[in-house]
Amino acid sequence: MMRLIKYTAIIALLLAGCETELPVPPGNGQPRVVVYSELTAGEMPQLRIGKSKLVTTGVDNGFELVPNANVQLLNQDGTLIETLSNVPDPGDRMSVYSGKTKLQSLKTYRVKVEVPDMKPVTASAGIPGNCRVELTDTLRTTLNGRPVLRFNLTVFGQPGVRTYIVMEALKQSALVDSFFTYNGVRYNIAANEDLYESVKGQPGVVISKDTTFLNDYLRIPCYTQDENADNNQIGGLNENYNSILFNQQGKPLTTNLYINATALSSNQIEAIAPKGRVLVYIKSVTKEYYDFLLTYEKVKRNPGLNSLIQAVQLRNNTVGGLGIVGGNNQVVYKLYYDDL
Amino acid sequence: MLLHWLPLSAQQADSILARHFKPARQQGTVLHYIQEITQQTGIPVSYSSNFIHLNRKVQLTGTETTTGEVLNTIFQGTGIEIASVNGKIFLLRDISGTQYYTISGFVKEKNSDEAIIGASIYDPVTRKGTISNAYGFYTLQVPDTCSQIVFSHVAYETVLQPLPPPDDGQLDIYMGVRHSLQPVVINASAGDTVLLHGGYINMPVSYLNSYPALLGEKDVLKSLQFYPGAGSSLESSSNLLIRGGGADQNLYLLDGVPIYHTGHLFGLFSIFNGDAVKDVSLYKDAFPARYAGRLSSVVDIRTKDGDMKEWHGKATVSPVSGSALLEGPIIKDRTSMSLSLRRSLVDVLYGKNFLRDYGKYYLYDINGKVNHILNEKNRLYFSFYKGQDRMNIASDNPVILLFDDYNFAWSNVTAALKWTSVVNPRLFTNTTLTYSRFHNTFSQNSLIPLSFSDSLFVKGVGVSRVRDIAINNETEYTLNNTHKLSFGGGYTYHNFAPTSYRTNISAGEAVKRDAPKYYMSEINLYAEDQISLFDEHLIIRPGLHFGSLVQKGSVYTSTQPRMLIRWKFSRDQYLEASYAAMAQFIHQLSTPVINLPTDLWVPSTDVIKPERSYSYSLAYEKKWQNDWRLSIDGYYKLLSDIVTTNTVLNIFDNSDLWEKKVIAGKGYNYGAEFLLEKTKGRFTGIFAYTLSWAWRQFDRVNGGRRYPYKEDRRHNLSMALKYQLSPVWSVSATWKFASGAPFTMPQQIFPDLDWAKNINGYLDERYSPFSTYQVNYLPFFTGLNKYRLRPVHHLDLGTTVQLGTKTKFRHTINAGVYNIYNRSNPFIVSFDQFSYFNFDAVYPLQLYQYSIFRTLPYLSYTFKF
Repeated sequence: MMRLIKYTAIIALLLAGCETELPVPPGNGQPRVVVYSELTAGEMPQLRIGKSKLVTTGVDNGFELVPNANVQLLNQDGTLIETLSNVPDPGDRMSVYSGKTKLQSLKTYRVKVEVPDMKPVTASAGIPGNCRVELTDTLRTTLNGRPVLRFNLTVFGQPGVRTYIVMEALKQSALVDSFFTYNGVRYNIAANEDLYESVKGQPGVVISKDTTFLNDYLRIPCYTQDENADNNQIGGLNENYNSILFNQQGKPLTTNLYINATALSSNQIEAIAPKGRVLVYIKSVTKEYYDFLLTYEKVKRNPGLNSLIQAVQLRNNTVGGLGIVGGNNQVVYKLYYDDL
Repeated sequence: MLLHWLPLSAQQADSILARHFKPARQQGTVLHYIQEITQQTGIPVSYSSNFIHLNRKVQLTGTETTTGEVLNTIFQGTGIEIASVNGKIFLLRDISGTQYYTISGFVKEKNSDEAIIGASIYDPVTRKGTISNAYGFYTLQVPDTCSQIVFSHVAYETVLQPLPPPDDGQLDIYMGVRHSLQPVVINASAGDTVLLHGGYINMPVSYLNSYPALLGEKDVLKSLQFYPGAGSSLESSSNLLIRGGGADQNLYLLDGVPIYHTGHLFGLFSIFNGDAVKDVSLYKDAFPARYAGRLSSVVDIRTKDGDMKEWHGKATVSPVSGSALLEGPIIKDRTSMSLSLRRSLVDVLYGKNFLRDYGKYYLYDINGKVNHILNEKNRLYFSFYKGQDRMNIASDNPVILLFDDYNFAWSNVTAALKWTSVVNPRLFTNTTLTYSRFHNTFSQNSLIPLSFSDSLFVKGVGVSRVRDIAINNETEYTLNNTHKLSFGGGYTYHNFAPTSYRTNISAGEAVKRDAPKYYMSEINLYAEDQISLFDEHLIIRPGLHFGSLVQKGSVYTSTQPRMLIRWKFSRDQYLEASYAAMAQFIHQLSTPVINLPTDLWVPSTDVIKPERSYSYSLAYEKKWQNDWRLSIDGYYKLLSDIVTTNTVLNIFDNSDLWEKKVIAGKGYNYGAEFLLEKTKGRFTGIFAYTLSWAWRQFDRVNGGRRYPYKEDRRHNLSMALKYQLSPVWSVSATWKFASGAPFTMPQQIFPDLDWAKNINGYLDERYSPFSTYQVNYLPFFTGLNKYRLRPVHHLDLGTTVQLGTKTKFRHTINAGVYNIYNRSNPFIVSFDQFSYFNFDAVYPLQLYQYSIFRTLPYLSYTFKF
């Protein structure tokens, strides 16, 4: 519902006949290391490492992986906790470095990333204290004509501390393989369909399923009707967002979170939603991460890449690089609508 | 002042002056009372008619009982001494030898009685004088030694009026329209007063026809852009930008009524129809105290009053528009009217195929005015205006890929009832009741996919509107030629409804929010004093404007001092300094720089303060024999509490809490302006250059550092030349140049967070509205507006031929070429904004420049009677 941009788009399209390609001016500076990480209490550290690209003549939007980074997790005083290792996966769009240390709440961590021939990057994040959530009820309903799932919940932050609350929902794709065992041998049904059809009624044939959750997600739009949400700084309350954002001083937050219900369950006919599970996150995050997400919402709505619209600058906390390292303490609701 | 008379006590000692004399009546001419004294008392009165205005009417108080008391009353304040010598009364000139008397009246156009604004009235010997005000009224004290005064105006034949005037009534002057061979003269007359200064431009409407125009549409605001300090945001936009200020910082007054949206066709043309306009004034600094409400400029536009003598008409057609004007007397010499219409014709002339391909668009303007003379001192005006734009684009058009049907409609309606009154020759007052409404409707039919087999049909209608009702009074009191007071005040009732949206879809759990509405009272008071000292070498004009905005939850007041000081070195050159504090109680929230009707007008609230500006300027001006004018201006302007939005506003959504998206900051504008103007002769023209800077600074933008304002242009240059080949044929050329607009280019790009985490999704129309794909990168900006677009420049040529100039029916042909060297000027520049690539596709990133006009001829034909 971003009509203002639409006006711009309409005008641009009207002018499409008078389009000229201009050379991108020669850029200066050096590419930077890009670091994304959500240091989540109770989980192992995981950092995504990439490189930025200078905007200059001949630039494209392809990004290379960085398998040769030295990625360290440090204590606040700089002492090494562990060096993270890269476990390549064909689906990775950035290089993923993982560790084995279980992260603790109310502790500040530093990360240090060194990539050959590039400026090293450091960032730190203190993981917030436990975030308690009381989910009162959920309800299937509609919001401005859209089917939604409503969560009525109360978030209890740490007493006396400003809590930065982020709510978001994803659908994680799952790969469901079906097997049958015949004569002591386990067969994949999809690969042995003819055999399966011929033996499926026989005694001793055992059918089983194996579900694998993939590194593939669908973002589920979220909504709020709460005037205290910081989404009011971004757009209207009838719009959809990546995440719903609140900052709350001391007292509990009771609100309704709405997530789009179109993709909760998959449909074999329609590929709009993959088969999988729904993950609803209620997070307490660091202020820097919160500020990043606030500006990220703005940038996603308005990249500011044309001369009629003022650009929005992203916040970040990576010294020497780009990206964000945020501390996070979260509650996750896993909802299974699909038959896995 | 050289006023002097004999004290009464001294007269009473003289038996002749103390002799009993009771006039028969209390009102009469000077000559009548002199003759009556002689007849009744037998005392001869000696005087010279060279310095006594014998036909002047005078009013006695009724308490006079002696010859001395009667004469004292008659000549009080005139500088005449009364003396008795050898049984005779002598009326003598005072020691300075000069007697002053006041003349006043209206300056009107011969044959039509149209009031002439800005006519110079001056003594050709001393070159001291005044100018007619916005209603054609003037008042001037002239010495008895003055045998004639000059009435001059750029567009009219000069009138030499012998003095003293034939009777003591109002001295109305009728001026004939200047012959076409005598070119238009701007701001050049010997009688220039303080009103004509470096930061002020007064432009008669005839000036509009002098130079080529885009599509042949003579545009008031674009003509002002020839002058230094006045620019536009985009090529050929009527969006007027003054000295680094935003478009919302200009106060547009149409017959005294504020106009909130001045653009047709997304700002390509202004709403001010050249046929209806009589006079345009632009104030860039040294704002008279009567003006307030905006930070950067005042554009005061007056429409034609209508011919009092006979009916006239005019019709103009071009391949894109048509217009007509009809004016004449409803009651001859008493009541006149003027009606003008203008409409675009693209939808009429170019058939259904064009409309199907590109959508339907039309605009029209209606200006009307009725002017009624109650008596020679009182006059009533009623004027109204309606302008409308409508645009429909269907999603199924074959040329433009759209997903929705769009309908735009925006309109202005204004009305003004004005009463002007000459209370006495020195006191002129006008009272105006005004109504102004801006209304913008946007509707959209969308089919939002919920799944591949299910979708949501959304029919939404959004309205944004402003309504004002106001009453204002302005009074001018001329004490004498060197001292003039202005004062007045007004009340405005504002009713703003910035966003109101309704839709066909069921709200469900969504909270139904009423559209926000604001009801406000604005009160204004002002006073200004204009004093000339040192034989009018020094002119000082202090002023004070007080404004207040009252609404539920907040009260704001603003005291705005104004000062102008001018030192005249000689009659042809001066140095001037000015200071003006201004306040703006209302704000325009916009994102794009084009003049969209979707820009919201919102008031100051308990959270959002009024915007303020403090401007300083220094100007030097010199003229050579009224043919050439040179002016050099420097200015510095500090803006505080100016507002901007730090996100894209969803303008038609009642839930969009705009106050949470507004941030306040500062602005710094400074620069220098140079103007050289040839105003007389066959060859006339303008050369204007502006060197300027405009900065903005907000706490949460650009790391709190100041950055170039989106309207910052380092260099602006314009040249306009006209050559009159013969009385009926002229050729003209204009060239405009403006430095490139600031643009924020990413210095680097880096992987998008969601993309990096393998999070996909475009449910619910969430990303780019013209592409269902999202880009896989984020931009990194080291600073805002560090990159510059290409400069904008174009050369335009035009010619005007007039036929049948001596017949009742006259014809004018205007033709020309816009952008003759086919320059591609940037209208929008986009960095990979309008692409249709997949989320995962790798493709080269480009800068795309979209231009709006290349070489474009124009032709128009005008028929007049």
